[in-house]
Amino acid sequence: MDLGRVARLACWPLALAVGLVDLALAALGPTASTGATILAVAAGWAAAATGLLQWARRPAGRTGALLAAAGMLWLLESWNTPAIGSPAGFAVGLVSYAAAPPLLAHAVLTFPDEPLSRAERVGVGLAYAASTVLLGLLPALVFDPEAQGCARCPANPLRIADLPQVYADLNVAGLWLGLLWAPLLILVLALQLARRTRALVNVKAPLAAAAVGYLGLVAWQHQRGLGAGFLGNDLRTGRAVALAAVAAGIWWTVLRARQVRTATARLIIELSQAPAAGTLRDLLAAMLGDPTLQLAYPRSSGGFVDAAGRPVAIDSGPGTARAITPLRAPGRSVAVLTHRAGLLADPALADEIAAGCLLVLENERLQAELNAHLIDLRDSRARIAEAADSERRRLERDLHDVAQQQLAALLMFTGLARTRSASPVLERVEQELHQAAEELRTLARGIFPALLADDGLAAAVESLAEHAPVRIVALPSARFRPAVETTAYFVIAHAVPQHGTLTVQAVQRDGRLIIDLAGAGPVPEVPDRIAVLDGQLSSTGPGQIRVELPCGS
Amino acid sequence: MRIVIADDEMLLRDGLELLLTEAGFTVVGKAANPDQLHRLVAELTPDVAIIDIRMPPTHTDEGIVAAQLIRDRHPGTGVLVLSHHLESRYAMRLLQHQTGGTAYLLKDRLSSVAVLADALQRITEGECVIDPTIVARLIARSRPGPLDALTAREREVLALMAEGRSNTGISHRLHLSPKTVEAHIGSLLLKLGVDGSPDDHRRVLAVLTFLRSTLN
Repeated sequence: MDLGRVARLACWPLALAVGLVDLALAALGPTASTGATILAVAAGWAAAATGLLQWARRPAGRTGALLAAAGMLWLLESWNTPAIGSPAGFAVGLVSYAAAPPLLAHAVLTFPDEPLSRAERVGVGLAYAASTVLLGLLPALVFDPEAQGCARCPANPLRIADLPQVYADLNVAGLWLGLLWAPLLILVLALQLARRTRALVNVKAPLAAAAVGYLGLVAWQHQRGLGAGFLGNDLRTGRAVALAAVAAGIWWTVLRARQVRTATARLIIELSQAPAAGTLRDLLAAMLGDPTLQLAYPRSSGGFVDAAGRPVAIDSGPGTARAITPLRAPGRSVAVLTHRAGLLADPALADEIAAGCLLVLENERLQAELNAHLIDLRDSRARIAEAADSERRRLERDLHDVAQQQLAALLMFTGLARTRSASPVLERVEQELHQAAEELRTLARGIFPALLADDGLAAAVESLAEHAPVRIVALPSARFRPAVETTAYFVIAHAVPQHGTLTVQAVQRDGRLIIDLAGAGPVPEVPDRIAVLDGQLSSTGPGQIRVELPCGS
Repeated sequence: MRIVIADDEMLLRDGLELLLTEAGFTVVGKAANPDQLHRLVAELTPDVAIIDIRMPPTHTDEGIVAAQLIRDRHPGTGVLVLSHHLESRYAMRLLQHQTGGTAYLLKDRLSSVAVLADALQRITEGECVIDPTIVARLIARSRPGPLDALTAREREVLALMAEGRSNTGISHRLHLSPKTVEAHIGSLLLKLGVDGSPDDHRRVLAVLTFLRSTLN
């Protein structure tokens, strides 16, 4: 059990006890009406209980502990009365009767989990010093109740001297300072709120308003104290209402978070019913009311991808009017939301979403990573296939530009030589050269038919039919992108059987090039080429092949 | 006969010039790319331009494009496209908009001055000449079309016509009398439906019909 938990558990009975003492004191003394006393004690209990619960809810933040302390000290204010009877209790009341307001202001300033700026620390420090030292501890050291004519007062165990003038001066100084720090803290609160984003303002505004009201009443209380020479119990009912309002302000923020959690829970139920990739983004966008919301997952190799694995650019910063909120699991960021600036300024909201959707997020992140890998693989396969195609074309060009041209020149000069002197050797050379030219031509068009690039698939297949046993039933006359034309051509060319005739029927339908082959031979290289283009290869019978390739419209 | 040669390979340009000069032709200009070719043809108006199918910048079918342009702009200049491609489609593209004075030959033919000289002669006479290897392939391929109505002998005659041979050439080749050849030609022109055209164009049209029937 950690120390914070022990402290929290101890505070519950303590706050109850102090409040009960207050009620008892009120019953004994004549000072206030019963209704006002019950209201004051109830407000103190509410503040203490709210603080303790907030402390348990967010142990890392200081708001809960500070608010619990403020509630307790609010209850202790009433002990600064002769009716307390006990010297120890009286001493506690003497020192602490003015300490609740700085604690409360401090609690509200740190809400939800914010470190204080330098100016805020100065304001809060001044308030603590004025309330607990100038009005609390120092006057208690020089206050002798008996000498000041308080016959019913218990002895003051803190008294080290009886210095009435110093006592009065300290009080006046503390009161004047109160007129300084209370408005100062109101200003600090307003400034803090003005610097926050709208979403956080929406959450925190009721809380801040209650705190401003409370501090305003405290300032007024100090001002009235100047007339009496000490900080009296003025405006206690008003201050009690304001204190209760601060507690209510905390509950308002809890309620908001609860709403998000309920929505998240609904989200999880919907997700379990429809877990398609991208569903989470759509549901979050609907829940938070931002249709431009993007959900991106970090890749282990760097960068971000969406649920389908496509790369996503994360842009934010000044001028983009967009903000980035990481969704965190303990110790790491699972996903990143980009959204309208201010939508998720309350860190609690993002934490609620992350906690509620963690499983789904993790699942989608893994799926996204997998999809991204698949996309990478497919792209790289397509690049390899394209590189192989362009290598084929280059090879065919080289064969043509170098070998075929030189062979043609050789043929020409041989012919020339033969016209000058007929010889059987030259005749034989010419025959061989013709043979070589023929074979080279067959080789070149087998590597890559120039017609395919020049005139397209139909022309190339028609030309193939002049050279090989191919019967054409139908061919689309349209041009397709090179990868599709090359794949379609080589599917057909490779399917030409050793014996018999290949029948080709190709049509373009619904953005797909559909090639039906009958009498096809085995085509070992073809399935990979088709897969690269996201195409399909199916067989409807022996020698019957259907190939479908996406080819645009 | 005045000739312009266009080929991006210097060895072939110079060799061809040597070959043609030896055979009694006059080479009046040589070009290494289509731009030079068009300039020379416009300046010199040669009888025939011999053009390599692959030329800069893309080395694909610049030669065919250039040949078509020359036939459009300079009807007095015939074109002979030399190619390594044994594809009837390139020949078809070369011939489809024209009525004659055009030839498509494989570069292998450069070994025979006689074939080359014959083709050049046919071109200046306004005929089309298609490489015999391509013609043989097309004849061998059976495909339903207008050629179905022709007899085997008529097809032989048509193939020789497509190779650019004269009636006399055909009669020598097939060991037939010139009269018989003329009868076959008359019959096949009738069957192909081109007998009503002017005399000069009949043979060209017959060849085009032959090419189209094998392509579509």
